[in-house]
Amino acid sequence: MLIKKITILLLVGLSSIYAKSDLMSGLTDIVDKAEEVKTENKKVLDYAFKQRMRTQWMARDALLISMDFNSSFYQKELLANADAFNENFNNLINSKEDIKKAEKIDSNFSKKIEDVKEIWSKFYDSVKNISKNGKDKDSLKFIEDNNIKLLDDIAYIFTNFIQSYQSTDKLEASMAHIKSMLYTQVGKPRMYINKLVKERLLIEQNINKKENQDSLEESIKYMDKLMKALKDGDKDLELNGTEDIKILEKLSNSQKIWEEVKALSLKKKITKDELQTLILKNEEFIKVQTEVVKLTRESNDN
Amino acid sequence: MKSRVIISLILLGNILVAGDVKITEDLKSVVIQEGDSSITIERIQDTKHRLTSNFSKTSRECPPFCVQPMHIGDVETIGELELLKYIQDMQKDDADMLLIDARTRDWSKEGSIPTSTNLPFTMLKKNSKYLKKILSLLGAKNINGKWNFDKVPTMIIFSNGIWDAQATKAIKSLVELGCPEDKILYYRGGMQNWNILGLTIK
Repeated sequence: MLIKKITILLLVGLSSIYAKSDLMSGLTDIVDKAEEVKTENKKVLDYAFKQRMRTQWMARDALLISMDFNSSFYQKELLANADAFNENFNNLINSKEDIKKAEKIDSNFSKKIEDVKEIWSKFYDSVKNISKNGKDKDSLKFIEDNNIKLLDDIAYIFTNFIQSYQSTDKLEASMAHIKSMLYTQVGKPRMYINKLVKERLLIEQNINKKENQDSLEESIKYMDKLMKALKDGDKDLELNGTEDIKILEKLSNSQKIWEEVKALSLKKKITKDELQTLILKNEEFIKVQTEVVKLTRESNDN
Repeated sequence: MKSRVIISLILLGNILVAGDVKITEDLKSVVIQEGDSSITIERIQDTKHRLTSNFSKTSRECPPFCVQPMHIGDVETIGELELLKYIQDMQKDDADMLLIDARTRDWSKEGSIPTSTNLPFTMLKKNSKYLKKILSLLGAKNINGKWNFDKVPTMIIFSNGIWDAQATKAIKSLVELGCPEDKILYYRGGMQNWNILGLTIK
């Protein structure tokens, strides 16, 4: 009789333990599934950061090729960047569900995508032409005339996508905004360094010299502000700065490289060796800054 | 002279013993079972330890990170000792309690209180597509469009602490859905207090 009672009590106890662990794992499963959807959405952000940088990268490489600067290497690089841009762009615009969501924010969104598709198609063709023939002046002109428009259009598309993913909950949206601002700003120096090196090359080539000199000065000013803000914070840029030692270390490295790039960019005349250094430093900067982006995401600096 | 040395040794002994970082004078740790493994909840024993994590921050933007009220309606607010007692009680077979980390996953994955389950506050909102599933799993029954929480375990809800509204929001959502306030406990100190006390994090 006693053994029977103990057995029943044990079974009741065990079933209660299992019920609780079932409840906990059931809840975890639901949250995990919801998180999978969120992770998918976050991929859009990744596309955005790299696409912005690539527009300027392509414009810079096209110029280097036209200047006969390590042409065969940059022809391959240019095409690889354009292929990657094309793949990401198609992944994005083929997602009908995402476009529908974004259309709720801007009813002209589908039309805007069609416009960007058209520019990109011509841009891609121009890249392909230059990757075969570095002296194709028309293709170079198209790339140099349209890379900033492509950059702005891509930024517009992604801003809409990001907004469409925003939570309807005020608290969650507000927390997500802080993070998305951080990720957006931390990725920007990579785009800016390409942009300003491109501007310096355009000056060197006497292409729209005055206009590019003004742009270069503005880019340098913004880059100085951005680099300081990533470290110390800046209200305008909605950045809080960081105290993460690993990030600070990397930022100190990229700051040193940036100072070198800046000094070279501001020189009135640059020699071939200096040009080589400028390009090397440009790439070195992107590598270090990519680590900053990675560390920032990992640190989940809430 | 001899007695002075003895007194000094006794005092020194006391100082050395005082190095123990207990939870209370009578409680050094709480041992719990989670799945197949046992976890000892205790405080970090290094008396020189300082917080270097995000919980050392003093000035987060408000909004969204605003100071939370001590009481949310008639929901009972609890501190660490009460929470530890409940965590111990939850080990009993007939315990009908659930410790809920109401933060979004990106916060929770950085570390939480042992035995807690992550259930983000956003998923408890009226318009959440997961709400029905979650409430059913918790044991709530939908009768004629209204939720009955009789079979739902008592929920202890926390988030990041005094500067974070995620737990507050979760509690308000549950109450709005019809959950009786006495089925909820609010651990207001949250992860901020848990961290500042150096308590074990899973």
